[in-house]
Amino acid sequence: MSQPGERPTAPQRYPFHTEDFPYQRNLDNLITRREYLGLLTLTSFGLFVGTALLALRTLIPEEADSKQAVVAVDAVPEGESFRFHYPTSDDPALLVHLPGDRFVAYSQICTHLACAVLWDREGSRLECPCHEGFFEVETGRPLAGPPLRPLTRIALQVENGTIFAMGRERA
Amino acid sequence: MTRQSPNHDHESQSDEKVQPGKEAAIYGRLAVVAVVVVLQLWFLILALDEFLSGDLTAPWVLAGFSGISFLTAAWMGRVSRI
Repeated sequence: MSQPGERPTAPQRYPFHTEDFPYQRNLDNLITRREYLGLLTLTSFGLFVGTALLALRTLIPEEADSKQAVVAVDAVPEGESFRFHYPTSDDPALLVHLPGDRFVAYSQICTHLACAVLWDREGSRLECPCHEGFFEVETGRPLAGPPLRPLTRIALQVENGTIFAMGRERA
Repeated sequence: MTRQSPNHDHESQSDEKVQPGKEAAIYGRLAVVAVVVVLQLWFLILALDEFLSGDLTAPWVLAGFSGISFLTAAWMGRVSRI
């Protein structure tokens, strides 16, 4: 209580933040259960449209990949790999020289989260260093880690001592 | 204290006399539609995975399932009937 002669102060109001951030509790009921049900139905329609668009996308034929020279056979020793781009300069790919003069090539894009897949010579497998995903070098199928889909294989052909990429083969 | 909501339907809904079982019916439909939506999300993820794997048939089947799911959700979501 104020003493005689003391200047009276204005009563304090709590909490202060409600002045800057007013919260109207009576607006909590703006969305009713019926409206929420309608919102869920709308979401259901959106998910159906998304799946249907994906199905329609399968009708669009992909452009055939062109034949491109990759590297000379002698330039990649056995057990080594060679990085190139196919079918465009934005698509990294990896060529591996396997024992027995066999060559395999895959898209270097990991099927998990699109990191660059590398050749693991010691383990004789392809490795995605981002999340420790491993792929079989013979087939490109996932061996361990998060990837579930095989790598996109690139068909090869050897002509006159040069390796050519002929097209992509999806599993 | 009177409500300041601009939408007066909410007031009328809260004031109206609720029939027995009506609230349970709404909650039941909400639960079913929520499960259907989660299923559809799974269908979409599965369709994308199959599409990226090169399977051109599975997305159509999954789109069919998603369409049936949507019709189920739309049927369950007939708010005017409850």
